[in-house]
This record gives sequence, C-alpha cells and structure tokens, in this order.
Amino acid sequence: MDPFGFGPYAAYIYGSYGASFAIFGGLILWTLHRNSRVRRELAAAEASARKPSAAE
Amino acid sequence: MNNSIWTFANPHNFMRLSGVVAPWAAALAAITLAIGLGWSLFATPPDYQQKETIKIFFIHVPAAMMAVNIYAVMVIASLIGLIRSHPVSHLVAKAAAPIGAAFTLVAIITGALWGQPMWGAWWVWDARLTSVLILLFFYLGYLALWNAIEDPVKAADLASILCLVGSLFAFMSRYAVEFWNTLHQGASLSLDKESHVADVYYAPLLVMILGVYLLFIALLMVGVRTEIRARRLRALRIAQIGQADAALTRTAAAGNPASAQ
Repeated sequence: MDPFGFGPYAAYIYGSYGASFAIFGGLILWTLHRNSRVRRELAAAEASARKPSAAE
Repeated sequence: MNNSIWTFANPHNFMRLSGVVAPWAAALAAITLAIGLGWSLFATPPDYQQKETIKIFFIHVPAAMMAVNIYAVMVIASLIGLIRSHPVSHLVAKAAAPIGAAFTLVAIITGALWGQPMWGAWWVWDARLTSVLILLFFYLGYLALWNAIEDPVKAADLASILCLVGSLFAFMSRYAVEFWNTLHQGASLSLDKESHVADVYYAPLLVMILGVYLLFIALLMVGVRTEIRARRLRALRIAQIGQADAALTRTAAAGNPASAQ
C-alpha cells in the first residue's frame, strides 16, 4: 500500500512520518490536557480559598 | 532595567506575554509545517543516491537539531536559575525537557528508519548515535529527578546540576561527527561552513526547521504557563492545609482548653 507513490522505500518513509506524527501528536495532546487540568484545579482551589470556611 | 529580559522572569509578566505569543506561534507553526511537509514530501525529486529515502531527511535533521538546541536552552535556563534564582528559569528548563525528549526520540527513530535502507543497519554504536541516545537518557533522567523530589526548590537545583552534567553529551552529539570518524554523515547545516545540501532540498529543509522552532516556542510557552499555575496551585493547597490545621487547633482549644497547651 503506497498511496503517495514513494516506491520501494515507502515503508521507511511512512514509518518515519507516522512515528513522528504519533510522538508530536501525543506531546501536543499531553501538553494541552495537562494545561487544562491544572487550570481547572487552580480555579477550583482559588474559588475554595475565597469562600469563608465554617470555622471562621 | 524595566525593558530588560529580566522583566519576563516575573511570572505575572511572563503569563501576560506568553498568553499573546503562544497562540500566534502555534498558528504559525501549523502553517509553516503544513507548507514544509507538503513541499518536502511531494515537491522534491528523489536523490540520485538515496532515492526516495531523502524524504526522511526533512524530519530527521530538524528533529536532531532541536534535540541538541533544546538541551542548550535547558542548560542556559538552568544556569540562570542557579545563579540568579529566577523561578521562571527553572520552569522553562522543566517545561522544555519533555519537548526535547520527544524531538530526540523522533531523531533516533527516523534515523533508524533511514539507516536501515542506506547503511543496512537499524542501529550502530557510532559516536553520533550513541551520544544522542545518552542525551535522551539525560532528558528522561532530568524529568525523573523533578518528579522524584517533592520540594520544588531542591528539585530545581538538583535537576539543574544534572542538566549541566548532560550538556557534555549534548555538545558531543553535536560535534561527534567532527571529532571522530563516524558512519554517520557530517553536519548537513553549519553556520561557518558551506552547506552540503543541494538547493532543491535546502529551501524545504529551512521551512521545516522554522516550523519546528515555532512548534517548540508554542509548546514551551504553554508548558511554562502550566508550570507557573501548578506552582501557584501547590502554594494555595499548602496554605489551605495550614489554615485547616489552625482552625482545627482553635476548635480543639475552644472545646478543651487543656488540649491547646
């Protein structure tokens, strides 16, 4: 299967770009996921810090 | 001194700047990489010796270049962090590490996939390849050290020292092809020497390099923003635990005056 016509070395080329897309895609998703999780947790912690506690 | 680079060592200023820069860098990276990939994969001719495997060059060379350059960014940030104790410097180095590790891994995998058809081997214990593998271990060790130590100040200092030790291997992996007679070819690009790359491959390579630099800037900005927020979250949680402890002590003292003593 060689949709772009890379010839006898197609497997190496698809392998290289496939692995690169997978690694960079994973890195981008992990970075964005971690950013949104920390943002959410910080917003919740700040909201809870503003709320007066029962002891006060 | 207000306009100096140290202004951005202030987390508040950095958040303001990165909030503007990161989306632009990400958008430009997407456009540049799309152009670079299309050009290099579909508009370059096969090489007279390497045939179609030359396509791997356009991802392998930028990735290998970034593997070393990101480590250099980490070394500079770590040095600034150690000498001037700027909190953002350590966070820049920490946020750059996973990006650098990813680029190093891509360089190693694409190198193996290029090496097999050209050299007849996926891997050889050549000075360039071995030093890049050790560089990957330094990236992973650096990340592991940050995660292993709970106190962020101590973790930053120890990880910075590890980063400085690893700079030797970053330097070696950059210059191994000049110091030793290696199976790996010489540097494709150099600031002080004539380029070894034919013009037809040179332009798309430069576009790909620009694209990966922009991708790095965008990911680094988001990563540092996350680290600054994570640091703030940790401080907030510690303060909340302290307040809860104090409230418990006050309640206990009100209920039983003897217990407070």
